[in-house]
Amino acid sequence: MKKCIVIIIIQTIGLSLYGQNFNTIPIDASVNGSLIKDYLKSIEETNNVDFIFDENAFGNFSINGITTEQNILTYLAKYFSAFDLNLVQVKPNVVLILPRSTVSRFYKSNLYIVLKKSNDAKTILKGEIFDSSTDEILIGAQLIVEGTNSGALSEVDGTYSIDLNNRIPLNTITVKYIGYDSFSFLLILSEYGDELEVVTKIFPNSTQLEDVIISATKLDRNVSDKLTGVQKLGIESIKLLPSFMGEIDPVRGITTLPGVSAVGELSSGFNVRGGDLGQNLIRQDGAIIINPSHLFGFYSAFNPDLVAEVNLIKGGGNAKNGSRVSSIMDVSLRNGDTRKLKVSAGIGLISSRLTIEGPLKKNKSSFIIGGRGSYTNWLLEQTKDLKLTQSSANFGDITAKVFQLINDKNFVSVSGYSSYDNFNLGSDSTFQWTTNNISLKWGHTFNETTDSHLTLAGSQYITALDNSDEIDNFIYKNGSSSGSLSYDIDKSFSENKSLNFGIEGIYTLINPGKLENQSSQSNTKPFQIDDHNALETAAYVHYEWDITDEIAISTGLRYSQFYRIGNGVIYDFNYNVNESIFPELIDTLAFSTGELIDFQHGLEPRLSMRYIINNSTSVKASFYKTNQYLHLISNTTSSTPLDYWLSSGPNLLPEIGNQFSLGFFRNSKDNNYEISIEGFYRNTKNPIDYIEGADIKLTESIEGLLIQGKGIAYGTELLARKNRGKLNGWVSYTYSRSLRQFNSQYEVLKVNNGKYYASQYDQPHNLSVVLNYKYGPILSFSANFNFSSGRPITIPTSKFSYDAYLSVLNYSDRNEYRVPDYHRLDISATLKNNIDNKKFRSEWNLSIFNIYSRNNAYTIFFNQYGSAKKVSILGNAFPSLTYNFKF
Amino acid sequence: MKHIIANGWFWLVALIGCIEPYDFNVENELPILVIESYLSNVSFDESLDFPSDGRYFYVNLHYSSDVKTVRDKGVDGAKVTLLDNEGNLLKFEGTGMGHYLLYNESFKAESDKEYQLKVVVDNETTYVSSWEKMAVKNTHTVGDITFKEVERPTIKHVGEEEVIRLVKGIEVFTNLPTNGMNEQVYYKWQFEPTWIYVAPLAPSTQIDKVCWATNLNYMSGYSLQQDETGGYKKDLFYMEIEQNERVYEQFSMLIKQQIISKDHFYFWNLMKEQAVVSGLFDNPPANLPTNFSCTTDESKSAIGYFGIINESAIRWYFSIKDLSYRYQNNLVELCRINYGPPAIGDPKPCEHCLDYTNGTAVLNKPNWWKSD
Repeated sequence: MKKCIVIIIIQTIGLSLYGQNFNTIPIDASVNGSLIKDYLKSIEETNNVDFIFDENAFGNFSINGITTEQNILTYLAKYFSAFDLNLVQVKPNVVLILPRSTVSRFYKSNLYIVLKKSNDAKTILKGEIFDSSTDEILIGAQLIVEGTNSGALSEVDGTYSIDLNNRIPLNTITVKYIGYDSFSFLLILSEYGDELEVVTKIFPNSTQLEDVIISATKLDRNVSDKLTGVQKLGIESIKLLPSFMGEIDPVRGITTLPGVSAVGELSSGFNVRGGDLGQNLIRQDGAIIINPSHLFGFYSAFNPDLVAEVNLIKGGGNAKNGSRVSSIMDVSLRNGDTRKLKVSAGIGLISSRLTIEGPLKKNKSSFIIGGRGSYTNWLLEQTKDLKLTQSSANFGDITAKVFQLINDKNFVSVSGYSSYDNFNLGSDSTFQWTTNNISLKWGHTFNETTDSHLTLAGSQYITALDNSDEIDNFIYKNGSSSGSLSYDIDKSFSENKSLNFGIEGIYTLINPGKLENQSSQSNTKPFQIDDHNALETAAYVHYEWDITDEIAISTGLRYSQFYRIGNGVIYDFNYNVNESIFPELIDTLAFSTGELIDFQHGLEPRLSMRYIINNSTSVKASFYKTNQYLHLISNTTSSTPLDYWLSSGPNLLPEIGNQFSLGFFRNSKDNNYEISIEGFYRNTKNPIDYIEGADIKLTESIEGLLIQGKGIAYGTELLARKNRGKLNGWVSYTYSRSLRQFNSQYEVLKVNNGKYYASQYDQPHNLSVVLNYKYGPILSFSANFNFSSGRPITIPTSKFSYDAYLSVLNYSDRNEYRVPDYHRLDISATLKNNIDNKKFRSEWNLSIFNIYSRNNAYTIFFNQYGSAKKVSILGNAFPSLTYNFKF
Repeated sequence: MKHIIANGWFWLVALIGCIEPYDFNVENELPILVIESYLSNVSFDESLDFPSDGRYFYVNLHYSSDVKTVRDKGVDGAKVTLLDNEGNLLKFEGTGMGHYLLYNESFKAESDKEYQLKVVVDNETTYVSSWEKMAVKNTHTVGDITFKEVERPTIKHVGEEEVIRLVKGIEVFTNLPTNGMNEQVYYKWQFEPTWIYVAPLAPSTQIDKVCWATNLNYMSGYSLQQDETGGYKKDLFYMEIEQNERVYEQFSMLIKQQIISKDHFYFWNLMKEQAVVSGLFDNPPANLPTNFSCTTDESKSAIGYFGIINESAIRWYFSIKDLSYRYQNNLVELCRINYGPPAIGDPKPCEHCLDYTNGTAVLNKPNWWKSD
């Protein structure tokens, strides 16, 4: 196949207006009065030439004014000039008739590519993108066919392929890549064109940065996507948000989107549409992350230097997603640079990070490895508090990925992650939690329409409390380990129909809690809650069909199975205990290793429909059902090292979520502005709460202290977003409610007398405003404002004296009151240095967290007399300065 | 373990955060009747042999109050009766301020009987407890009491400054007997301290030189233990030695050991947990369980737990002379420091023991006080 090189250089090559074939075609007075369109078509048919023009631009123009025979192109050039149209002869037998403005834009001959039109309805344009200064391929360059929804990203080998509609012979192709000048050329489809692959070389720029594109894929994804409840956030957008202590947090970034909230500062995890922390599945390159933060929520578990994108699916989505009722959050790690070695680092007041990436084999394989560590102890030692001077808190993590392109049909990647957290209080007790993950992915392309992904992943999460006190002297551990395998196939039947199907299996070993004495003198009784062995399997199929240009459906079915396997002990409880506050343990059943304890299964249908009203407006509706078989046991608002997981079983039914949504989506100004309004309703069967007064820690028969009931969540989410320009950002507002009901014939299983009450994640109003402003190529600003309704709280409403206690508190109904509303404004400024220096670049980032020093209530506690004290974390403005560099 | 986490988190939060008062403005909260009561297998006469001044079974009735610095209002004029499953009925007599006593010196709970408490307050509103009986039949005597000398870092105020100092003290233990019952035993210990106070500047012939003092708020808490195995030392309480005039002469602690039911244990345990400052990792708040119900109005409830306990007690004596190191009684030096002329009417504990300010002092030596 011949290659045609389009090079942006310097020389101007003169346009040739007259070719050999056209030289032989005369025009004379006999054609005066003929319609120009009909005439040109007749010339094409009789002379094997091609005129390419916009037929709609001509109307019923007719030929006139010919008195003597002359060359056809001479006449046409004069004729069309009256209509501000120019002729451009791109091949001897191919002539374009273009508006003058288009010819001015494409004023060099090498900006015109004539591609041979296929006999099908579409022609495939293939090409490669290179850096013109280094001749190295560019991966991830964006190609857009202007005026259509078509486009592509260059692959790992720099190649791309775009389907072009044969009914549109003229296509303006624009190439964009961050850090490079954008470039456009005119792609012409003609039966007389060449079969070729286009090689494009673009120049790096040093004057103006590319606008950050918040959406990583199609610019009109908001309107055109068939699935509702899917939010993508590129790491570049997340990096623009003001950071705390210079640390970029993808989870915090996600909470600026509608329907997603965090507890506040110092919280790990997030809530989606009023769901619990444990109803979110978080994965990094396919491996499960149990605790997505360090140091109780101060820092993210994800190293921002390695994160490519964060994808959040609220409620279900494609049938390949499951296992959690509220959401799936997928964090994708990027591949290392396949061209050259790079180093980047950041130095902050409390933590620092270092990332190294580079090729293992140029353009074929790469590695990337990044580590972070903290050094907070010096801060604690400055305090005069005894406990804190004897305390320590630190964390560290390493993230790595290796990518190998085997051939043009196969690639393999291996990702690994290891982290630790360590908090020591007063030299007596040490909290530790560690995560170790690994995942292997094999991507295989069968043909142009079918590809597959095989993913193997393993994860391990362990928490430990080591108490070296002389009397107690124990160590308490809990954790969860899992191994998973998934095989997923994508098949595209046509532009309008595609199928995705596959299977997956996850084996999880949960250790809910084990306490061991560390000396024979220990006063603490050892115990262990039996491990839970759980196997979850699923088979799914998902079909997407653009029925018409307006109507599309995305529908799927997931069939999930759950096996709880011995060994293990199952307790039987009597709940009919009117004279006791807790159920009575009446029987114990022991299961041996490998014996089936419980089996659950269910069909999880998924349906999403999209109706396009016009190119910039659509309406979508969806229904998702999801089963959840593993449950997070935590009766605090924020995740803690003492939380643990339990699997479903005879005493704990799966949680089942049914979610409906309906939304209106509109883009404008070439997808620069997006507006959406989406309403949702979800009912959840068997959400979990706790019997009054239950202590869920260190309890073997924990299931007897848990209750399951009903949950409903509903609301409306509004999002307005500006994607490009010096000033960009978004405003998201959510009104939602999240309610629970625990009603039973047994008093011990009731909460609030069986009435509906607000769940601890019920926040009726949630507003987030993110604004980014780029002042020139080196200076940018960002601001983030958050507002949310106060969370529900149970408060003492009266007190009494009893025995030695002067005051014992009497409490309201569960979650009857609310803490004060939360709002906070963060700002940041980033100053880039050495932008002209390709070898070494650096930047200073100044962030001020909570700039107007709002004392937001993180929690409210009460002294023994019932007086309330509001605890605010970071009640002052918190500035931080970070220096980042890379070379 | 939960306290470790709560305290640790509280201190870390306090370093970087801010704590300020907040008012929820709770209004129109109806008061709830509080019933404090219990029965044990030790009668009044037997309680004299602890040794002690003796204890009648009592019921305290009062209403809950708003979360302000107000005391509960006692309920007088109520009818309080005790019933057993054989139909016997005993009445409690009111003594004022919500106190009711069972004036029966020989009455005690029997291990094979069930008992119910009934309270009738104004407008004939009736509250009854569930039928309760003793958790264990056999009496468990209190194990040997021992102590260990320790030093604990403690925050002290020196002038206007807070400093951390190591303070000498003792930890007091009891030996739990081996639990051969194949089921859990729930213990509760209560403490009643009494000590000798000697006015250091009073002449030896002065009548009010030596007093016996008590303080309802000193060591007023209790200790709990959920025991499965027994056979180990259980820590009961900690007491400072330095600057603690209570141990300079002779200190006596009546240690009452109670074996209670599982639900009764949870009642006391939850009450104790609520006394700890709430933190991020604490369990969500919960109201104390009760085994009382209102038979005349389902919408009303009472607070309290009527339990039948297996009780035993031991009296333990201690003074600084029992320490392995020498600790000097420094009251004389403290009393000789010249703080300026005293105001008229100010107590003078240095010269009159009856003016003792850290408790209630009496001149009469308790009948049960051990002879030297």
